[in-house]
Amino acid sequence: MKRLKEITPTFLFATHVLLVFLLIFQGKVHLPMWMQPLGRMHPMLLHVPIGLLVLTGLLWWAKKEFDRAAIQTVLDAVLSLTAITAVTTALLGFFLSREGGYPDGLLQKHLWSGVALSFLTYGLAIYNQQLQIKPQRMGYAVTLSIAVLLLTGHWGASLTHGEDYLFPQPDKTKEIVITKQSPVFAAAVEPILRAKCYSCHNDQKLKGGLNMTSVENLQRGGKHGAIWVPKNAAKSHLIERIQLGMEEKKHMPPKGKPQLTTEESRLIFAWIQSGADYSKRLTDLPASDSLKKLAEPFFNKNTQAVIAPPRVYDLPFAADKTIEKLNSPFRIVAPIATGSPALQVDFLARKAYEPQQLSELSAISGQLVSLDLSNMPIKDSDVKTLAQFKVLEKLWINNSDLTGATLGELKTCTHLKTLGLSGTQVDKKIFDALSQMPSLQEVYVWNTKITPAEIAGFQKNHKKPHFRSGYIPNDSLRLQLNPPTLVNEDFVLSDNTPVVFKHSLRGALIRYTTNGVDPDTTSSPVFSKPIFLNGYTEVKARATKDQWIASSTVSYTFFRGKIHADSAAILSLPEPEYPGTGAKTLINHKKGLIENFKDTAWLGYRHRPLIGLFFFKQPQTIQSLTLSLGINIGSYIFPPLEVQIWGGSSAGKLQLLKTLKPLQPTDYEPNRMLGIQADLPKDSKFQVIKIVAKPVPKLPTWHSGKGDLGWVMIDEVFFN
Amino acid sequence: MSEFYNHRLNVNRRHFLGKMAAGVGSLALGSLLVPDLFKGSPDDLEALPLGVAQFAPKAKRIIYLFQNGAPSQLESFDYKPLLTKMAGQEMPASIRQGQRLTGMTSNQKKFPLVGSHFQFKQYGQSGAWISELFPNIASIADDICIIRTMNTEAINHDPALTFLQSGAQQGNRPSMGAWMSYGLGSENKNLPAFCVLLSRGQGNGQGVYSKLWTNGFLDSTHQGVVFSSGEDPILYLNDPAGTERVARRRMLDNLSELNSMAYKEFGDPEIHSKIQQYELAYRMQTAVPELTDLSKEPDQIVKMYGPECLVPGTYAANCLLARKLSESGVRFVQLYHQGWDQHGNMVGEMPLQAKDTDRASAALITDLKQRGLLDETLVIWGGEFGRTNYGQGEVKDGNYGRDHHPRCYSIWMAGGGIKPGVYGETDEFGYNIVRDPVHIHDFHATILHQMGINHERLTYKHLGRRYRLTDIAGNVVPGLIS
Repeated sequence: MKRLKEITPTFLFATHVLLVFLLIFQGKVHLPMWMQPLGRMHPMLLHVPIGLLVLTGLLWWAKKEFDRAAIQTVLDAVLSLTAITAVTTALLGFFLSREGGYPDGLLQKHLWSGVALSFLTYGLAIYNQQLQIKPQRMGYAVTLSIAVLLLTGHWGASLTHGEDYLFPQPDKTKEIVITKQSPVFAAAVEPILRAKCYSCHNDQKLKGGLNMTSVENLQRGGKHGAIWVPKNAAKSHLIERIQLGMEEKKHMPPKGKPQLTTEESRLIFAWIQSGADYSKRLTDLPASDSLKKLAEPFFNKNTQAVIAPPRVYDLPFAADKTIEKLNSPFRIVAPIATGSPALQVDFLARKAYEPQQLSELSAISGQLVSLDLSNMPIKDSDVKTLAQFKVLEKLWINNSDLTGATLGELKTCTHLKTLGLSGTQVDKKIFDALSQMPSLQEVYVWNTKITPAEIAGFQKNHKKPHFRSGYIPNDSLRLQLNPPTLVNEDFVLSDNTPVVFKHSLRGALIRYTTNGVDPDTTSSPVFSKPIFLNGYTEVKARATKDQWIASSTVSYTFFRGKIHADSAAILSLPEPEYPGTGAKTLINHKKGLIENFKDTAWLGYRHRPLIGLFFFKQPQTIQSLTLSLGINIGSYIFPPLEVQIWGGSSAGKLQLLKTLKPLQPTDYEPNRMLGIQADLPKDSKFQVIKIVAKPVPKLPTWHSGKGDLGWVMIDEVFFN
Repeated sequence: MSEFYNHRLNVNRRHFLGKMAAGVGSLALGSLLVPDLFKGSPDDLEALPLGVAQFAPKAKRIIYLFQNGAPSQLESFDYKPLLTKMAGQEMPASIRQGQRLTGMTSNQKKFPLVGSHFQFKQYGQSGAWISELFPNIASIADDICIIRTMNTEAINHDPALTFLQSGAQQGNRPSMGAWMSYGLGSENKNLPAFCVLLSRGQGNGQGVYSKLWTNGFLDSTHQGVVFSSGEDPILYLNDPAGTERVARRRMLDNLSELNSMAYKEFGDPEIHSKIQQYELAYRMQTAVPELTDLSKEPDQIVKMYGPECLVPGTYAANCLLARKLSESGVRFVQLYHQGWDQHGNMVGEMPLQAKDTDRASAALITDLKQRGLLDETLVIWGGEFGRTNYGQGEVKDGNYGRDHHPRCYSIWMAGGGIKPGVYGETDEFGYNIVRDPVHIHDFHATILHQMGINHERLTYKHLGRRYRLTDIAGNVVPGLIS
């Protein structure tokens, strides 16, 4: 500490002499490379003397709070340090200024005030060591030093951050509007320079002596002269610097700054190559021109259409209470936007409508701009009420009871632009009444008595308003009907359930068959009353109507079991993935869905045949039985290769009654239900029936799984 | 302190400390330095009232005809004759640019270009190219804006759908309709603000799931309400036989009283939602029967939408119902039509899918227009991404399939202040965007703008940050707005 105290005066004297020397010969000073980093420490170090000088001020201001001798010692130390760091900062600042690229005027101000500050702090340090200091004089000196500090600091900050940093100026560049007619330079090249170059080459910062912010500055070039040679891009300094490798020190923009994209550098190249013309427009260039092709995307990017600001209404506000009172779940009153006086009203649910709900709106007649009364029972006499809404712009009275007789009264609605009258009883008489309306643009009259020909006649003499007739069906257009729908929910019919079809289109006929043949559109029976079926039946149906193409045929398979087995057993295990609910799966009268074989309504067999036994407590006369199966060719689910039916009075005394070989598919077909029906010998009684169904052992050659095992999926067996 | 007690205060430790930290000291200092500190600024996000548009909107309602599974743009609205000319040739590497592919085709050794099997023609004033599969949509070409440069970040159905619906791929955010309901409320207080209608075509399909219409972290009243595809679109709406309307009202009043007591005790906001949902259901009993009654629709309507519009659960019926819902003030009606995932059998399936949607979609536009409602209703038709310009697998017997392609695809919009015409351009191969891209975030921002909402200012604070439909991106596309 003591040693530091001894050195301080010498150091301060020597450095200040050096400072003065450097300032005198600043034109001749050439800075060696190794000192550059020193200069760059200026922005860091400068904060130390700032802090110390402020501290000095504070100490001086509060000196009475401390012991006199102590404050003297502390001030001494602080002031010495302030002076040392101030002069060092000044020296480093001088080194930094030698790098160039700063606006000259501002730099000089900062430089000289910085030097002054250094000398001031030097003076303070010396003065404070005098035995007799005049406190007043010292106070002035400290205040002056802080004032100079503030100035110096401000100029320095302006150098680094730009002159409009503290008090930002509105950005002038925003006002530039680029259109398709703008010159290529202004629309495409300049925005690139602004984004990628301006930050170092502007009015304040002139790295390499180059300012790129205006055409004049660009033409002036930098310290190496012009930055481009028109029509010779390859020889242009700018292009050379852009094209240097990233590692090169002279590459532009410098490493760490936003780089040019390939498209951007290509565009600049092409623009220079084409003559670096500042005023050439895109439209002046031939279509095949490479500059045109390169510049077009930039034009599109920079010439974004301007979004029109939203409409603002200048109307007196309605009281919040009034709006609140009028609002109900079936009459919505709301401002069209936050803070807007304009109101819109929607009426909802015809059942809830009452006539006074409309007249009550007179409380907001000065704000109501949009009113939707569609589907409400509005009558001709209500138009009088509507006529008092003077600021109304949009009005919908679609599907109401209007005839149009009183619509002329709306002429007081001088702002009305849109009027919806679709689905009403209005006729061509409204033409006269509505042609008087000054602002009316569109009138919607679809599904009214007004014909397109009448509209055409009116429109011949009147430009406004436009009457819109909407969709008029073309009589020659023939559309195909949708098929009839089945009302039944279950395909297993119990004793009294009939099959019922319906069609949603008024007047459509449903023709059907129960014999598996496709229904004919003229001769097949017409569905008029529920159909009762006896046993397993495939019902096919289609819809027909005049002027429509008949629908496609739908087919449904119904099952019916009059005789119920009392119990069942399966002698062969189903595949573990499709165990159903065991043997009772087959007699529970529950059909599976063809879309979901995972359902427990299904039993699945593949490696073994199904062997099922069905028991009846009393001997039953069984005329036929039906196996209900699922078919999904793509999933290897085929009809069984062979079905055997055995019968007898007990499990030990069965005899083979029938062997069936179901028809096998010859190609892929849609997934469907299949019933395999077997008629049994007449008048025979059984107590036990055995059914064996063997899966296809080898899938046919046309199938993607040829040679593989087929599946049998079964959900029910019906006895009749 | 019990959990219930905590909840009742609606304050937790973190809230408390957070409030303290920003407490008295900084307050005093702050107001000294910046006198306007407590005046509130235009950027004060919470200050915006909900339930009403922020500025005068162009559109009041949206009907989103979502084509689930990604319909091919190359067979519908983006005509690329070069693909037909170069059919069978390998896609140039300069076009593909090493962009990622799905696992379904990334192992393919070849990427043979394949042109559309279907013919294109130009329609309308803009001369938009539309394929022969969509004759009815072609007939309204002057009413629609075809955007050919939609692009997304996801390459598989689930994330792409989720991204399109909620602005994020992960599926924990509110869906677009929920945001609308949150931001604009319901125009019709008797119906949900966000309704979802499902249908299915015959093509290869992809599922839909409730996260696509979720309320996410928003209140559950904003959740999409799925209509049943059966005869009664809304189930269990009728009072049980013998119940009088007055008795039902009394029962609900008492129930609501009980629920309010429970709310006071536990403070669970879900109880509050429940009360509102019961009330909504009660009002729906009045509003819905009128809505689902198709018997009053004139015969022309059936010819316009096609006869399927009378069969519940079909796309056409959903379009008709969507019109009726929208007409009744439902903010956001979302349809999903499944079956557009043509990895194979483009030639077989595409016409079926197109037939399902062509007539009814065009009819919806015409129908809204003839009632004077198209100006205020924004209709959107489109899927979650596009399909590749090369064939998936072999091109066999003139039939082919296409894989997923997120870099560009086509959708169309109509009404709601959208400028009709054609927007954006893809390269000759239909693989990359050449001009005017519309990213999903931009699409969302534009839709919100049309509804009178600044997408940056419709936010909800959740898990310590504010969320938006557009997350942290998105720009309104001025070129789409008339």
